[in-house]
Amino acid sequence: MAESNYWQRWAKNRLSRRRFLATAATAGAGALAYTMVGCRESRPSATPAAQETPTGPTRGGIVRTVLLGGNVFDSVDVHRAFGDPTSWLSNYVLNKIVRYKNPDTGEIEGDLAERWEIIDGANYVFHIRQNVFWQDTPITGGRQLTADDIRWHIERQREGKLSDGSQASFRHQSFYQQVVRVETPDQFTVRVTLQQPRGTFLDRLANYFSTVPNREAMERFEKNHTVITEEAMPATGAFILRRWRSGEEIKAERNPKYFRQGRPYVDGWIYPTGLFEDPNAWRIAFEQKQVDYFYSSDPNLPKSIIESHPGQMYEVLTGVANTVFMHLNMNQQFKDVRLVKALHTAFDRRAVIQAFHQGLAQVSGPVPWLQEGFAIPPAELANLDGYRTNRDEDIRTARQLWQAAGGPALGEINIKVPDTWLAVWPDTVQIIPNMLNQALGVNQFRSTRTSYNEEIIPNLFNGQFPNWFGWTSQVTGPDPRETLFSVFHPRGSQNFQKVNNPELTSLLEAAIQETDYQRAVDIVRRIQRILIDNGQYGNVVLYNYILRTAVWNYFRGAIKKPPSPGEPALGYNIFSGHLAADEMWLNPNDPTFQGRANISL
Amino acid sequence: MARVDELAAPPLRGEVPLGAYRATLRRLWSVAKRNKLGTLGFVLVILILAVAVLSPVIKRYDENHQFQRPNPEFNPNANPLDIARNPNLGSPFILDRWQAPNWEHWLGTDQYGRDIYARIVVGARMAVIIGFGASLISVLSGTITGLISGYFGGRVDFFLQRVVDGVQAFPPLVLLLLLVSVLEEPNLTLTVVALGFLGWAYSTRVMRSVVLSVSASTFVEAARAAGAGPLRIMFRHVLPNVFATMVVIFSISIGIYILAEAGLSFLGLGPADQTTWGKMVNTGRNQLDSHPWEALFSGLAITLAVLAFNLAGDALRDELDPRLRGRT
Repeated sequence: MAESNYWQRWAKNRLSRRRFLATAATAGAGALAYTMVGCRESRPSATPAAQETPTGPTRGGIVRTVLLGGNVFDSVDVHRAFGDPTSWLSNYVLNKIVRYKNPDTGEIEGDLAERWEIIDGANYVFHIRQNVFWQDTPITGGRQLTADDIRWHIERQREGKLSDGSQASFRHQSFYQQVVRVETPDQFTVRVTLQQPRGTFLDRLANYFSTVPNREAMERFEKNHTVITEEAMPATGAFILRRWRSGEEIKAERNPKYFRQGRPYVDGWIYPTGLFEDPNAWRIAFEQKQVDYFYSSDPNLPKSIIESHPGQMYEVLTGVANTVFMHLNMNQQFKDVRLVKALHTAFDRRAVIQAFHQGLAQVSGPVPWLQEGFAIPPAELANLDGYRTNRDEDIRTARQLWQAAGGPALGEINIKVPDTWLAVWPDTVQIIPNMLNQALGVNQFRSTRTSYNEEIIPNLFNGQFPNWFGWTSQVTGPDPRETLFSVFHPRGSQNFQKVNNPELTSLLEAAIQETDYQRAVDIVRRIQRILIDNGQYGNVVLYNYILRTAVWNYFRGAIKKPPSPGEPALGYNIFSGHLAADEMWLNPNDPTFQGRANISL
Repeated sequence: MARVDELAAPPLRGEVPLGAYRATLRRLWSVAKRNKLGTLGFVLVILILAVAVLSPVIKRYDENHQFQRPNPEFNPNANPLDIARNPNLGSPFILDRWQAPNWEHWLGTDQYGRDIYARIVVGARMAVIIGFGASLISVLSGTITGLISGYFGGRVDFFLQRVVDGVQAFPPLVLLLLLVSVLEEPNLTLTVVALGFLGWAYSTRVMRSVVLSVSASTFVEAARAAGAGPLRIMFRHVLPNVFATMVVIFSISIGIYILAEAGLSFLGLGPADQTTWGKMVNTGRNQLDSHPWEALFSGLAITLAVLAFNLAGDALRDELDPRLRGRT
């Protein structure tokens, strides 16, 4: 029989395992050679510079980007949501009584209140704008916002009760419990009386979680507040929610009745699903102009994208509000404060910044540098234990303390690392214990994986939490006093280490009541020095890193300092969604606008 | 025919005659000539084992040491704005990260300034421990259950084989992820045991089929007729006859386990506190376009190790199986 066709001959010869392996080896070598040829060092490129438009902001267009740091919403009720995303979203839709004009310095301006008077530290009068209307929906009827809305907003959170009188969990109830009385002498005046002077009262009202929701909508959705729907958040602010459902794109359009004339600039925005969770998809969408900006925990990624699009993108640098901590449990292994001071001093903050963030971070004292008004200045910090630029001196101090307090007798010490951190920096479990072992001249430290939800958070209140390194609290505003009080005062709600230092306690009480800014700053700096002397009582603030964002030139937003040739733009370190809502705009005249995806709501 | 000197001086008890060595060497040489790929595999395996055993001596540097150099740009008074403009201002030293291969660092450095060559060498040790450990667990446990299942048959066989069916019904990777993530902190021991358990079902199945065949042999019948008990028959008569299969499964599985561990480590579920090749690939992949050395060399190490153990295992099977011997 004549030889059959090629495929039959191929089938007859059959691919043996051995032949397959040999072929695989050849293919592997080929692939290797191909990769080697393709390898290159990152190319230097011209410094990208966005061009300023002389005509100023242009109205119109739909922004499509990851506006919020996450979109898992636990409630439609901003008073009862314990996760931040609902509060973040509300800053684009609702207003606060007052708001930050500059979130980093803490300068405050009116929002729903057009002006206010501080009678003394315990009495405040707010004059509410008369041109604020709720979004016209069947629930609100488009009625005017009045002083009664503000009174309800404060009293509901103070009482912690729903409209039927039942108790519920309200995230900020403890803060509002200091309010003794809320009076409304007329339709647009609110008088608030506190138990005692509180220097942080206005700051808290300006925070991102202090937005004022609509009373009728909240009461309508009180029983099923975890079901996410746009109907539950009628707007007074820059945007109206058109679509807000769990796991779906969020869509918002311009509020035509927004009381700030001429704002917002854009017609609407879309928050796409899936991109925040998938950096690779986000990067691709960004490079294809389907979304307008891109950031990543790896600072090299946005940088390399910017460098590969010379002159088309600009760089925005912002401090990351999630402070990096090392927590040492003083209820268990570290009962002697000298031990935590030894570790506080031994931890090489600058080395870790180098290792994980390529230098793009700044060491933080007990008050992170993001809260620039209250933080100890870098030059002064560099002379304190744990922050010295002379590392040998810190190591000597740390070793003396460790030996004197019987550290070697503690045996193995596990500094755990949360899985969310390890997903980004998996080598942390080798780098951190190695650093501490070397600094203290021991072989006691190791690191294993942990989880915020399974091990850390459930054990904070019972004092059984592990020692851990990673992100912790978010810097929510420019004033650190409430946080310091909460963490280090014996009555503080987050005093998990059971700190009780009489000198520190009296300073914390003085700080919280102080209404004079400069005096408050002085007290807070004294508090910080006491904390450093005591190893921050195991809540060792280490540093805050800097996020690099790549932005197409056609997109402009609320930034602290715009880009200039050779200089990156600087964004706000502390949440500024309310400013972004008002200020972001698209420039259709910019050459990079060409080829942008056609986006509509 | 025996030579005169051999007749005159018979070997002492336990001493191997020189001729036997020569014969073995001649046979090995003949096999090597016949099966070149297998020989390459064995050479690579020996090389990997040598690197693993000698790693503390040949690694040159501590695999966790972060190389750094003084930073002339350091400014202790730099504020965050200055650092944002120039990240080099904030530290009195700079890590020697992402160095290309050079005389000091033969395979370059990773993003933490660690020597990639030292980490590859230490990773070889981990790969060998994991590969041999998991393979040993899977073959020993599989042999015992396969022996029991195949020899006794009946209900014992039925029960054991349904358990094997149950384990094999799960996709291997899913089962592995489940085991490692549900149990506890993924350390080295846990990883080895989990991988070994995964291979147990396959080993049991193969060993059972061989035991079934051997159990039907006349010498087993003869032993039984002579009054030998089940344990004696299993361990004195059946086990020696399935040993070749055990060796083949063991050798071929090593590469598979090395690959499986690399996959686990790549997903962040491997032994987190150890230096493994999979973890290196995971860490290095983010800089693949600009600094490919870490991902490239660790990936190459995995490829070579898996290829070596597969080729060696394949050659071993050819030589130990009389039906395949000499067909290369």
